[in-house]
Amino acid sequence: MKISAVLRSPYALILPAIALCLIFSVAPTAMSVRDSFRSVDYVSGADKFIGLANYRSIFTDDVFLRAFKNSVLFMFGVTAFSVPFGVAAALFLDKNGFIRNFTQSVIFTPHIVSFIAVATLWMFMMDPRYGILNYILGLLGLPPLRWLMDSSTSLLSLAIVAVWKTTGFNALIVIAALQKIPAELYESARLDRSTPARTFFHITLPTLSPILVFLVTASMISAFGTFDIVKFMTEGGPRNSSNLMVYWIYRTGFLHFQIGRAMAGAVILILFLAVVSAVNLALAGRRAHYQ
Amino acid sequence: MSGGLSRAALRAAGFAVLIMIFAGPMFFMLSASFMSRYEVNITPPALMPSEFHPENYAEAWERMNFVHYLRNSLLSTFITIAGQLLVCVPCAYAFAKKQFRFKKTLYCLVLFDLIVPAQAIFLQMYILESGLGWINTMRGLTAPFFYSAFTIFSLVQYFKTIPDEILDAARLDRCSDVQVIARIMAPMASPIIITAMIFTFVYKWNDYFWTSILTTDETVRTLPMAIQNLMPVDHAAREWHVIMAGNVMALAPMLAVYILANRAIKSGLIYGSGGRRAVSGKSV
Amino acid sequence: MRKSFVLLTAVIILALSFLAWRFSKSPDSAPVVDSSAETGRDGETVEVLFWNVFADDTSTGEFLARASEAFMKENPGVKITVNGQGGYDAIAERLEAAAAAGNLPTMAVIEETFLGRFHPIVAELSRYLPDAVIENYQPGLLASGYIGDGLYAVPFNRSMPVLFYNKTKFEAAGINSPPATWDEFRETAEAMSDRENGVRGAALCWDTDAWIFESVLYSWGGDILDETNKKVVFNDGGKAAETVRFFQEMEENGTLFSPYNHQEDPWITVATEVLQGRACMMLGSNGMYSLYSQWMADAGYELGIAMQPSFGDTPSVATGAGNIVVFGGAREEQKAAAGKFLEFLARDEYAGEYAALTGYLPVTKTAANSEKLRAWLSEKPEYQAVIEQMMYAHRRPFTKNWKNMYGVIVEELEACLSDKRADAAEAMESAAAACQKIMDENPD
Repeated sequence: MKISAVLRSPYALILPAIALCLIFSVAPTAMSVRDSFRSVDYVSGADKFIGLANYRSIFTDDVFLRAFKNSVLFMFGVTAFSVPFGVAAALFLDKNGFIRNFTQSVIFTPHIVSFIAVATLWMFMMDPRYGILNYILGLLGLPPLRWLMDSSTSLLSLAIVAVWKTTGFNALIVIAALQKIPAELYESARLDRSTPARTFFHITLPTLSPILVFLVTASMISAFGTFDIVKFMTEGGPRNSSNLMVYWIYRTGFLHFQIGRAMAGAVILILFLAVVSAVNLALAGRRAHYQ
Repeated sequence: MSGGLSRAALRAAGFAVLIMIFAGPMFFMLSASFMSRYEVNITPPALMPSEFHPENYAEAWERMNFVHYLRNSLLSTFITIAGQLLVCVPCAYAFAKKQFRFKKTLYCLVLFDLIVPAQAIFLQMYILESGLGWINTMRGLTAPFFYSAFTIFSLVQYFKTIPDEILDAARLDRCSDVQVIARIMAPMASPIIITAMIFTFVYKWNDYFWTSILTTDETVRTLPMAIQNLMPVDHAAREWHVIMAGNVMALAPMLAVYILANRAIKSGLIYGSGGRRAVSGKSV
Repeated sequence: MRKSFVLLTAVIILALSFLAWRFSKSPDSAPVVDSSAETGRDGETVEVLFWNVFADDTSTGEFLARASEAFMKENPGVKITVNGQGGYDAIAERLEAAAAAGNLPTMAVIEETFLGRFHPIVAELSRYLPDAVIENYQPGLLASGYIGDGLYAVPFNRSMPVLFYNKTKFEAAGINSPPATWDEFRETAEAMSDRENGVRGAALCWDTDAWIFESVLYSWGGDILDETNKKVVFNDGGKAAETVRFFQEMEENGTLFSPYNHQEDPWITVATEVLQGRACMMLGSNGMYSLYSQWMADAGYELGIAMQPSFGDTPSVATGAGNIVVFGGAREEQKAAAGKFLEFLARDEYAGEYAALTGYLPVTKTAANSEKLRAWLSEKPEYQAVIEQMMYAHRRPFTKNWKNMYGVIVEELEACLSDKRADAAEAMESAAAACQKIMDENPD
């Protein structure tokens, strides 16, 4: 009786998820936080508490500061393009019809391609000597760029790849949201002789705003956490011009094995993302009242 | 009249630009995969292969050891999907439809992964899995991902919209929770479950990060690692034609799933709460 | 029903005890070698896992496969598995990861300087190697294997930077001897350059671990660290900046090809330029001699090899490349088997064959004098210069931080030779400061 009561209880249903979460997310995170205050070296066997020394070290490290700055820039840059582009494409492609459905599918395709394939493809296209992008620039009468090889364009090049990969996903989410807007709203707007601009700002945008907040938050978090294309396309170079936080953590922790410093960076990353999410949620709460 | 015409022309131009930007590079990938070694490295670049070299695929197939990695990709993806169905669906049902103590706290705990990015904890994951002896094993590559904050979150959002009356009726019939999930929740929520599983599929199929951390040899490595193996080490030249052929081969199964499930994805997105981009988190 | 309840409880208990274990576990104890897969009982096979730098399909990979095969025939009780890891950096990173996870191989090839990093976990070798074998190694190559009186690493694929040049083109231009000093290097590069046809006199890659830079710096009279191994001195008096500036100027004049404007691997780019006759000489590792000779022959040129240029009469070069270590945490019989395999590789037939096969330095005295190698050398009289160069080997940086330091240095060096040239003085100064910070924060 007691046994079946436990089994019937909701706790039995959530137990596997909770257990996995504790083991594979909470515990590693806790260990990361712990290590950020310690000097850990698996080769020499050292493991001692050193207070805030790791944090002091990374905040006086030009490479870390550069990576942090790059990540913030990258986060805003990618979001500023991938979300508006996604919305614009969605408005353009809303409604059914063969060509629209086809185009919707096409712009979503980059999302399902692995980052490795995307990275190799764009490296091929961005090759300074043989790449097609420089050829296109030439056709437009523009001087060739050195894309990933140049410290002034490397971050931009990665951002182009990220925007290309994520815009279609954003568009699809917005299209889904648009199709949930009741047709009567538009009908009544039409009867009121509302202009398309008025309709957009008074009906479409407010209805979309929760999904937009979601998209902006998700886009910012994922852009800030970009890793694969950095590792594969530039390794953060030249001269750390395209180094992002996560790659910095990876390199410091997994290639240089300065575990304490890497974990200090990870803690900063988690805190920063928590702040970004909180700010977005707060803004979302505000927006919700307008409706 | 002419206004209508120019508008149609503009619209056509719009489609053309969108398709060019998003399909252009993919087309280029396909085209380069049939070029000769010489043709991928010329200026001005060739858009189309002057003659077809399907043997690039044979070479990529052989050098990638394609079958081995395809098998691993399929296994790890489907095990993860099955695991998520078993772990996340009951959990989401409990949070959506049951009342119990500490529900809010536990829900916050379950959503933990939404903020903590995978890359912040990979080192500890590696050490943890080493301790378990899970490095280079299929369970090491799949079991931690049976739990997904994103999947649970989207399912909860949708489950909440299913009216309680239906469940009450089932309870009167003395259905157990498992039966309620299997007979009522799962069928009613199938669009969102399918969508969530497709996102898991995309995420797991393409995952490079965790595979590179949690494996040190080729035993259970998946297709993205096989493409990486086509990139040279030891100072050899990059053979783009073969790499692109490998890309096309790794993409094909994914594309097939996408074309088959296109409609389901969209309906899932429309009914569901929306998705999260599946690129950075441990969980989709 | 009852069963699943037990199962659920078990999961909870497991999860909690697992957490407890994780939180209490500290890496205080020395990392252990993974012996789980290798638990051979008495009289059964001893398994030895050997991590090699080069991939299995390279000449080194194939050589080791052959050698281990022959060794196992002689020693039926031992099974050697050779795994190529794809580069000195890669092998170092994987060893770090393996140390953290407690699954180190039995033995591995490391870049000689990495003994500074891994010495806490490697075994002292004089217990596993007969004195006669140790004494037979070339003393110049064995030096980097010692810490105090203890021997912790023995040479395997060892090399030095050398000058490779296109003999065919040099002769056609009437230049009969390769440059011996840096001034001659610059003049020769000028003479060999044909700007209209895009031919440059020289090409330069710093190497992924700044090895070429390091060696050139020594020939300039500079050093990386001071005698105490604590102070970074490579840019004292602007020495490093001066070195870099020399090549920067050549690049600006169009007499030096820089690979850092290209997306491909710098080594392959530089080698391709030289091989195809678009550049006429380069610095490289003598270990590539056989491979490059083959490539050049395929392209219709003859490859020349000479000592790295120097200032004045006293050359000074870096030694480098692979030493073999055995990990201390391995079981005693594994270490003994590893020692036997080292002894086997040091036999004249293998050490000599390997040198002749690749162009790496012969690691033992008797192999260098063996008939086989003498025959090989008589066909390649120029290679003698490489062997002589061993006398001028310079001390290398010995610190656990070297990998992190050269990462910073290479980044700056590459910038100095790329399209938007960095200011050499500024770049080297900031590299030196960053390296000093790394050393101060992580004292050896």
